[in-house]
Amino acid sequence: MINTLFGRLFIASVLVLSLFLGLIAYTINQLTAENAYQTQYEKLRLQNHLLLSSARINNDQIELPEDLREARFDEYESGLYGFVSDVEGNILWRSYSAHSLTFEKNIFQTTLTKLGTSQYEIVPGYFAYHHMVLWEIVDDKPQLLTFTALEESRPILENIDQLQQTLRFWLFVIGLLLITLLMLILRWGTKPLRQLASNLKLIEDGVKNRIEGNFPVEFYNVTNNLNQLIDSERRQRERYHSTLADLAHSLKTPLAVIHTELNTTHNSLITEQVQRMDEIIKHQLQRAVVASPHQLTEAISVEQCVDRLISAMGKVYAGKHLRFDVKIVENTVFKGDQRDLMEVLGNLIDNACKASKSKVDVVANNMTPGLNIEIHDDGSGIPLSSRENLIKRGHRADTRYTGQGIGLDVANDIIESYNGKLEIAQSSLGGALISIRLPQVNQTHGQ
Amino acid sequence: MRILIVEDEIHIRQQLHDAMRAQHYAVDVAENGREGLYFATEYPYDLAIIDLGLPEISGIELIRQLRNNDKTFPILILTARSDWQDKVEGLEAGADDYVVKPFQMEEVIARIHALLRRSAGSSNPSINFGRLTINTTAKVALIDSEEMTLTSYEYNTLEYLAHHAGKVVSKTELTEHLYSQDFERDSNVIEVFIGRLRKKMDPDNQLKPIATVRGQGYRFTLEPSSQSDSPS
Repeated sequence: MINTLFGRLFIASVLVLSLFLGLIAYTINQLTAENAYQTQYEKLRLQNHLLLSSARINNDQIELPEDLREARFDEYESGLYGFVSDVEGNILWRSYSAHSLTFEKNIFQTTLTKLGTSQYEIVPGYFAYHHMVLWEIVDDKPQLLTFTALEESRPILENIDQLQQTLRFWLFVIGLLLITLLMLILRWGTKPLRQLASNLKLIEDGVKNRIEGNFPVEFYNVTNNLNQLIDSERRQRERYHSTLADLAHSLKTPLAVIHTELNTTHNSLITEQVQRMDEIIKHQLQRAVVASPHQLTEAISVEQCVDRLISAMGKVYAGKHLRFDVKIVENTVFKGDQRDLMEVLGNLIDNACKASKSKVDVVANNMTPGLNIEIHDDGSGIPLSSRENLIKRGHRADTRYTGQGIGLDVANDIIESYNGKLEIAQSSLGGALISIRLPQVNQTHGQ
Repeated sequence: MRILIVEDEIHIRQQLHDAMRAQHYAVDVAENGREGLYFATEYPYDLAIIDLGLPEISGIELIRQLRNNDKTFPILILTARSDWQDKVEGLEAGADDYVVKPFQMEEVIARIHALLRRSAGSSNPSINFGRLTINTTAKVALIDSEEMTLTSYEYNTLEYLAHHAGKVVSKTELTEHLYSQDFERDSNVIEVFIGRLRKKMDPDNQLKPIATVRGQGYRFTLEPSSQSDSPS
């Protein structure tokens, strides 16, 4: 996934989003807690002031009315407790709600030193608000007193925790939703890239010969340039073929005139040299037009090519009454230039027709990676000793084995240019078997 | 037999013309595709030799147009482009055989003979009609195994009638297939050829190989023996 553009963008986006949502969750947690503490502070401050304003000294004792304005002080173990204590922490008065409970002394031992000041703190199990006053209780003797409002922290903390959990849940849901949306946006955004890649694959596979589809404006230049490159390569190849064909015509027509004239003068030396020139021209021109294999080639139907050739051979060799047996697996294709396939098969089938007595078989498939073609004939075959020389690389056109024409040499050159292999063996029909093995185009690259 | 040669290169055209004339064929020549199309449309031919690299109308286009116009005579293509793509395109357009330049004239002649035989429904150069045998390659006719002395026109008349054995061939048809386009024609000459052929083939008037169909023309009455079509 890391090797794909979509994967990279997706992983980076998920990481950024997770970090962002994590920070949001942290901030909201902090703010929720802060807010809860602050609210609690305000509440306890008011409760404390209520206690302070309700307190009276009667008979040297602190007294508070039984019916305080905050009902929770008067409810049994309500969770809100009021206290008046001295500086040592001794409780001088407690609200009805705290009557049955025991409290640690140190809860009431504050760090307050100045009169009229307050302290808000969280002690184990409680939120506490203390306020220090100086009252004359006994014999008008001033005494430091601490008014304390305590509230159990557990329900509040549980509330905070629940709120935070809810927030975290919704942040998680939002995160998932955002990631899904992000994935959809990325898929939509990278669709043109996938479309382009798919187009290129189809061109590679030979299904298409140019890039087609609705691409965004940013891609126009890329697709146009690629299409132009493909078209210009094709045009250049056709121009090259055409130029070489013209060259062949220009060279061979005068040769044909000389050839025919020589037949009347019977000059064997010049006739032989003219023949040699002709064969060299033929051989070199055929080698020159062989295209090199590359990725952006069309897939040529082998069956279609063989059918055309068999139909043509049927006319040329009509007098021999040959039987052709073609066994080609459906969708067997050649990835390369159509002319190259036509040239290879044309030469090989032509040779087989010349050599055969009555039967020529053509078998082809893409069973193993690449293309396999076999051409059988029921002629007299090719002697073992001549086979290697016939397909030896760089074997000169004018020194070839005369029984097999220039065709085998040219076919072998083309096959080799596609990194393929041509082999000669004995056919089960009794004559020669020419086998061609061609690798896939993408396998030839980088070799 | 009348042959059309469509070739733009003057020397090859002349060489082909001379070689075909030497084979006693009536020959018309055209130097481009347009002229070739005109000749082939206007005159009856038994075979055409067409170069693929023609100016104005290409050889392949010319063949295609001829076949579209129901011209069924055999066509031999000449091509300097020896790659199979071009040969197959030419054969698919309607040609029957090809010769790659530079060529041996003997090869062209052999291909022409084979094509003419094939178009007449025989693959054997020797056509046997019982006592009469015609060798289309050697251009000789034998009666009772003895070679007859025939002029080229007499031989051509006999071969044409033999190729159309059993069918009525008009004098006009014979004239058109025996003479090229620029030849001074005289229909009485055909009667003379037929008369001479009858005398040479059937001096005793027993065989009666050529019958006159009144007002229509001539019919070759001999039937080919079965072995004449077996491969040699």
